[in-house]
Amino acid sequence: MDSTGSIIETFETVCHRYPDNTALICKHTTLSYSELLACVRAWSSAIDQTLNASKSNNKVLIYLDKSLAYVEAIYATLSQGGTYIPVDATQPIERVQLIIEQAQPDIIITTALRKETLEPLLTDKNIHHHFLTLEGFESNKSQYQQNPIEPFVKPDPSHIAAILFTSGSTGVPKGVQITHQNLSYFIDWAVTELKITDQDCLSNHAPFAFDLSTFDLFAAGTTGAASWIITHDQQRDVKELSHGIKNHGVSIWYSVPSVLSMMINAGALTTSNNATLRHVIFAGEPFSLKGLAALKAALPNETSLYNWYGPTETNVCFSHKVTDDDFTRSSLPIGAPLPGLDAILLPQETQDKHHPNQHCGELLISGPCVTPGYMNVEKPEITAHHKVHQHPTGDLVILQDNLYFYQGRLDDMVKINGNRVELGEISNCIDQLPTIKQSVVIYTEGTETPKLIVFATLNHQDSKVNILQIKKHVSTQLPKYMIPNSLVILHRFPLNPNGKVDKKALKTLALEG
Amino acid sequence: MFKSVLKNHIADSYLDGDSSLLDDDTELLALNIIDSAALFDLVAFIQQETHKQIQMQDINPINFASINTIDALLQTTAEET
Repeated sequence: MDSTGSIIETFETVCHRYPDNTALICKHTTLSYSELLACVRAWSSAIDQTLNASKSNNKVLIYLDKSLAYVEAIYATLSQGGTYIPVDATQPIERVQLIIEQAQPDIIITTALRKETLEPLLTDKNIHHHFLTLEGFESNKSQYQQNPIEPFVKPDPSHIAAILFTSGSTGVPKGVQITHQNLSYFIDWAVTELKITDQDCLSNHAPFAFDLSTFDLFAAGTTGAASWIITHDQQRDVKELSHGIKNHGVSIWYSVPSVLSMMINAGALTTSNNATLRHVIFAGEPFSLKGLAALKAALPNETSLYNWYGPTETNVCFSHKVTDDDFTRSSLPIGAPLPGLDAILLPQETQDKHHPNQHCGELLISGPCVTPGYMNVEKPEITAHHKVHQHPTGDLVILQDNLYFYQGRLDDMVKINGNRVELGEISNCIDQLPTIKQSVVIYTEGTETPKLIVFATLNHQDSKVNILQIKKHVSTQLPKYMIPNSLVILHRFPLNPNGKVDKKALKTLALEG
Repeated sequence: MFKSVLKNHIADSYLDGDSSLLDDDTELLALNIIDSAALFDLVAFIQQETHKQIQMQDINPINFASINTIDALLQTTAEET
């Protein structure tokens, strides 16, 4: 990759340099770089015509199923100097609506059916947006393709390329803004570290709303490599994943560990289908050494394994290449900061102030990976850090033998299958049920099968509520990974000396089962 | 009737032992009753109870969407010999 250019400029160069290379594979369709470029131009023209203006800083919210069109729309947005806001189409419409209210996009790209559902809901709240439907695009595609082809807009490095919405503790999703510089820094490093070339094929397993997807898309798009877009219905289908790795010759796999464990458990990774894998990378949550050992045993000896770490606010900022020594440790390191980044461990209030342990504390990241913060949430204590390219991660980390190890969270945010979840957002949703007086959700992180457990008090002692009712209610508002597993009814919550709910006591109860 | 055995097992293992509201069409995956880790435990249970071998290509979100879809899969799956 050309380290001086933005990802979108490099992508444009790559489209001309490797016109016949496969750029995208999705189900039974493939697109070459020249075909992809033509589609990107057409989407770009469609966006302009829908908005009846050519503007370089549009916020484009994309609410489609994972598909070739989704990727085309992302590149079209970036080619115009705009900001793409990816929405996972599998989440409930209520949450999509919340994201739209927060994001205030200039245009929404979606299907005709979803527009039909969404438009009246937004109109009821007096919110009006331009819509561009997939069906409308397809029917006018030839006309869009005939329009004069404008060069891509060269973005300012500080311009926002994407806004990714993650869970917010108050129930309002937080929009993390990612600049072109943030993306270029990370992709530049990854392409060099993994020696990615136009001969590679990268798996794209994560939804586009998940920060993991920025690697697959842009590392491929800036080198002339292929990206295999794994659709929602293929994501947990081991046969599809196994066949896809073999049929597409996937050389770089990137996903959360639970997907790799699922494939191992099903016997779906075998020497007959994984011979092309050069690198297997995982991120988003800790990988148990037991699971990792099983993965290593199923892969060719020459396949390298990487553990990447980083919150959405920094994207990947730590990397660790797995070694044989790791299997003698008690946990897998998150490794060391990427070149050009600094890691500082902030001492905790509970530590002895006169003799702080410099090797344990909250991890603060500093450097060009740090995003400029949230578009819709004001957190003064964090905003001050973001202004100087620092991000306090909220993760407790220790440093041993020049390697950093993740120890846990300092707040109520947890990672479930790599997705950030504020437990308070789930409690807020459950508290809407009329039978519930108050609920507190605990996650048994670190156990072999972590669970989301709801502790609740009821408005009336004789009220009835069970976990299935809660699941059905939560499923209407929150993504699947935020649906709780178990319910415990309490007469009253245990309180700590400050009179607050004693979450440590609840966690102990949860772990005792 | 294997469906009732399956229903009781799902309620006991994944719904705090409470089978009320659980019916044969309840969405097991969409409601996160069965997640990707639990799916393979469920497959092992079904194989043990029915003596039928479920092939990897049949372990997918469509076949395991509900008790009814699992039952339909089992109707087409031969017993181990």
